[in-house]
Amino acid sequence: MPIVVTLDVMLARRKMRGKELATAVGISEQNLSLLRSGKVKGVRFSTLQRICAVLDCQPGDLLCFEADLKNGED
Amino acid sequence: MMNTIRKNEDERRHRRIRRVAGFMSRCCALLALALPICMALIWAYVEQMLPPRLPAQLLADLSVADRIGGFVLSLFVVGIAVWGLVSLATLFARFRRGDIFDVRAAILLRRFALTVLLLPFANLVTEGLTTAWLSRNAAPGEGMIALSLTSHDLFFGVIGVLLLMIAWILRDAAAISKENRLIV
Repeated sequence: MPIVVTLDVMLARRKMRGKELATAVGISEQNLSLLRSGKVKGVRFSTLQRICAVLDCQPGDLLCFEADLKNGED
Repeated sequence: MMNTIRKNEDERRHRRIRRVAGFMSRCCALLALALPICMALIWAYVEQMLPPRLPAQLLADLSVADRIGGFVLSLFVVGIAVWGLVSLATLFARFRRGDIFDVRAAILLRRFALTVLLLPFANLVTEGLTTAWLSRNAAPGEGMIALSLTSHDLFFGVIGVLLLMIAWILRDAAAISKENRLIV
């Protein structure tokens, strides 16, 4: 998929662990792991809003578009 | 507090599902095993059993070859029924494991629906072949091929179509649910 999740980069910048983020955002560690690995089909605005609030960043800091990656490539 | 109550309620529901599904799975498996044995017994004592679809005059003085042939032909219907029961046993076994709402379960339900739908046709074919087999040694002009369609067959057909449609809807719903699970 041409949308790449760059949550790992933001977590590293904020020196935060995935477990802490999952607890702060209110999602399971399993779902956060799926999101970090880009294996999800979508992200709810409410989840995105909470992640941005916790990490103090913009949605664009968590997602980027890479046109080279073909559709269906997960 | 509320979460604990909900968890306990969920656990109770799952336990109930596991218990009922386990019982049903074993029942279906047993029935699948028993069907061929019952059919063999029916053909062994066919004069006393008088299967409703076979003309009574054909069932007098049957030789061993007649009985074996009749049994082999009836295995067509039994095979379809066993296939349906095995699908149902597998479906309930999946429910017992907790895989309740998924695509595979819908596929198994569709397989069972197909067997229900196929049974009347299989009965029709088997009836024709069995009567032809049992009357093969009859005098010229007295051989027969009996075909009958009863209200039971129509009932099975309607239930089969309904189950097939439910399975089709469940399959699509399970696919949507699977996709929704991948939205965080």
